[in-house]
Amino acid sequence: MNSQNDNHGQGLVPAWELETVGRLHGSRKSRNEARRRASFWRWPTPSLLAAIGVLLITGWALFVPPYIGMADNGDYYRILYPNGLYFHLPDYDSRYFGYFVRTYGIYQYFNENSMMVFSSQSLFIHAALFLNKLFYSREIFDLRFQSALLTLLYTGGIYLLVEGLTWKMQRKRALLIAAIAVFLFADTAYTAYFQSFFGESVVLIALLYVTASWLLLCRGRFHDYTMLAIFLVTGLLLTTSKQQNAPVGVLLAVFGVSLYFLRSGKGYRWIVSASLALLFASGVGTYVLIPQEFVHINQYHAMTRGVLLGSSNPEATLRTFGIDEQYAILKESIYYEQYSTVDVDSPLLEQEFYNKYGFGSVLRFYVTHPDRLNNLLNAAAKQAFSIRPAAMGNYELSAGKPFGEQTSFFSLYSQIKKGAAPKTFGFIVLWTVVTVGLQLPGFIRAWQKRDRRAIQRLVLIVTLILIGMSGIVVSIIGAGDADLSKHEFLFTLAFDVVTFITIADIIGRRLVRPDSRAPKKPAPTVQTGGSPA
Amino acid sequence: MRKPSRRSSIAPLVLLLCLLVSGLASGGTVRAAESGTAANADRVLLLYDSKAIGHEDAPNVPVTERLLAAFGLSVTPVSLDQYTPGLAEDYPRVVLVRNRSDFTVPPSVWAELDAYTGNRFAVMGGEAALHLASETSTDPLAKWAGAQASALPAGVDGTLSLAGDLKSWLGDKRTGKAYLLLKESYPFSDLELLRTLADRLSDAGIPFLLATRPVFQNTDYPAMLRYLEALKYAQSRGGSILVQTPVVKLAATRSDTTLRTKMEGFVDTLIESGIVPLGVVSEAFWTYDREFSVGGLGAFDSAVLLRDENPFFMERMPTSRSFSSSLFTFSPEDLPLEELSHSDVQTLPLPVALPYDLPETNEEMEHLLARLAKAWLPFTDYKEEDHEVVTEKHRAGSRNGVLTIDGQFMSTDYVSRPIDEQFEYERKEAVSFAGLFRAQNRFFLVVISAALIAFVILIGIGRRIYRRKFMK
Repeated sequence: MNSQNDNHGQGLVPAWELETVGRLHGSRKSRNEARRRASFWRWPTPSLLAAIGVLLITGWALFVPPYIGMADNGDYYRILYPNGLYFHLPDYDSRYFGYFVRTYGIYQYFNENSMMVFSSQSLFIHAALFLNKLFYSREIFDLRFQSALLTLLYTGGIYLLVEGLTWKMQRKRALLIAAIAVFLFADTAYTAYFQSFFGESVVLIALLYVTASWLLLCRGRFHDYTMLAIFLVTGLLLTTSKQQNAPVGVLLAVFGVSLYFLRSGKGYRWIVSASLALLFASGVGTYVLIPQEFVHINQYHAMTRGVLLGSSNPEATLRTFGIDEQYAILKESIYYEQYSTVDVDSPLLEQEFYNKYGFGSVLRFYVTHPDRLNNLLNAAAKQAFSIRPAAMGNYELSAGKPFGEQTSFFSLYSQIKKGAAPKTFGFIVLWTVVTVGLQLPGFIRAWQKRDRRAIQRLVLIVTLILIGMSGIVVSIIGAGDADLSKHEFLFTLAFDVVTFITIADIIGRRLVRPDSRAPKKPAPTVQTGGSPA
Repeated sequence: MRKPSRRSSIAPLVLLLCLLVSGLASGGTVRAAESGTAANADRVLLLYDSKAIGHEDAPNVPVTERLLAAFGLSVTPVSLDQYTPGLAEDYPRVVLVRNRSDFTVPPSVWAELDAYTGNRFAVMGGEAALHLASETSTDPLAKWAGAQASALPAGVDGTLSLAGDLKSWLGDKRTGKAYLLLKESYPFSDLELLRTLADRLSDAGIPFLLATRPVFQNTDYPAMLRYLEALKYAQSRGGSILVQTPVVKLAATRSDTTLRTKMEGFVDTLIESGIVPLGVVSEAFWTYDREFSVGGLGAFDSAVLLRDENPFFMERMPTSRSFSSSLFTFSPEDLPLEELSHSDVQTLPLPVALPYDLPETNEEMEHLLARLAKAWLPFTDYKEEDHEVVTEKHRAGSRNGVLTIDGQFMSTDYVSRPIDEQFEYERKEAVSFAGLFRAQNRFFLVVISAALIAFVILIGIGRRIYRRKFMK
């Protein structure tokens, strides 16, 4: 049995409390009284408080009128139709971007729509649909069933994340971290995604669980195999939630190798190896399963909104790829133009344009033209700190709000972040250097002590940063600047999670001394004793 | 001296009056075309029992629609199922398409149609013709149009036969003509090949229509100017330039309602480069959509309507837009060049265009030219007839083989225009003290990097001292 299980449920009780109680009553009765009061102080734990805080605020935002959600930007149909839902409101078209729609029709007959995109999001929609049919209606789908499901999952993720950061921490400090968690993660810019068909909701929840499970493995909190299972399942959900998350599976598999060394034992290592292989395969599979339409979209933008964007001589640039210089006219054009000169999926473009370049040649171009990459990265940084897309409204039409109106309810953090963060890629680099630099002493110390769990912390931070960066860099190389605003959610989320971990470590004084496990002999004035189990 | 007779002195006045009246009439037609509305006399109600989708009679309704449009009519197609009382009375002509022999006409509709006093015409699909034409048929609509009925067997022969019957019914006096239409021309096409093709067609005495897809952005780039030069060259070699409607990709939001501005912008680009776009080429369904017909076709009074490949609508109108000049098209598969002889062209019931994609390779070009040479067809020059395009900025067109821009005759002789290969693609934004800030950036980068390195070294030294002092 692992030692962490022995410490399960332990929390810190203020020393003054025990001392006061002990001085006043030296008897057994007084000891019981002290234990009772200690229990009162110990429960609810900061992590539970954080989870409850997030649950209440999100519940208020999503389930108390006026309901908060996200308006459709025209992408819903891709996930809606294959999952047996359709737009049942006759005036749905007039609500695009402006108003969030809460109810949808459920197909009563054979659904001829094939799966346009493969996404783990479908699992959650089907689960919500099941509950909807069970408790509400077989004809009309109410999005609140999905948001309720996602909110509960999210609450669990918050609990695990805060638990991973505050376990065995002085309570005042832990409460402060819990308060920060609520401030950051109960922000409606994040939680409004639950009341939408955007895949970002799954990304948000899955990344929290991946981080939390890795952190808890790092701390030795809870059962290792349980945490490993959460890590694997949520890693798979994260990777397969959106096409652009394909690199996430690969990154988790590569950096997750450190988990292999977390424990010795054939069984454990075999399970880790299989899990990492599965994550790697999911990343590759997600990339391979990208429909041809999306391949063309991305490839088109990689050239017109990437390589050619800002080019002072697009004809010369095209010649380096062996493309006819006449295609310079497509500079800065987008695939989705309602009216265009040429069919972007035509054999002409296939033969004379798409066939002339790929991910590799575009990557080579940026390596040899770093100034151009830098321009794009700076363009990306301008939108990298906004969580809520500016274009979509948050209210239903019935709420009587103006078209495209966004909520300001519990969104202070997202507003500060959007307004105050320096929007240059240099800042992102600086933030990366500072964050990694702050974790480095602890990592060196853990390395010297051969503490395999504490070592994980820096690996986790680096993985999260790279996952966030992958959203930006991969989409620039793969699709220019066309979809940056959509792909940057992963970065902005990773930024918040990493910053939150760093702040928590500063508050908890764990940067230099990352205690991976519970001390074997806890200080008598601080530690309250055994596991409630 | 002989006194001029009263009759001879009045004759020029009468002639002048006739010319004025005809001028006003033609002006009125153009204005009607511009607004996309048709005079009552140009409207026709097209009733059908079924579209016969998936059946061999499926082309009957769309072919009839296109033929009626080619005769300059504005068509209102209505299913007999959705016929509303009194509808037929609003139209001077009614065409009935029968595709199903088992369709029972509601008595109220039959009573109204039976009492209809306007011009009637019936089109019988293959199956319906077989059953309804027999003497034993009890269908009240079988003999509704009397002699004005046309069976529509599948294929080109059926279409031409129906066109002939419609021509007689409408009293159209035009003679048959054929036009060679080269479509799908892009700025990315092989421009040298385009020039060569224009030369070869000109040398062979074949006038042609060249339809270019519109370009809505970067029209000042050298690449665009090279394309415009190639179009201008084709125009000088006997080509009539037309604008083909853009490729449409309808997103769910359908947010772009600026088609008119875009099309007019492209037309202005052509005109300002000395190219006169004489008409528009589009799939027939464009004439039934408000945004497409007003935005995409609104600037033109002449059109070439292609068969619908994949019809879709932003805002469907009940009635199609009509044109003062509208050409029917037969695809190369339906009517190969080889099947049209010299005499066939003259006996065509209406002017038709034979559309071919612009060759992309030398082999394709040679193949097309060989077929044209073998067919030896008398193609007509599109410029010989009246066409007009009107935008906010310009009015251009053709009359009797002469091109005009804003009322001025325009020579079709090719005069090349120099292209600035040093074109400035990126407008440099005005910045102040750029050099100073660049130097400042570098300075701070060096200072911060040095400070970081020094910091790490100092920490290392401090740690070493600490360990030596306390960790012994």
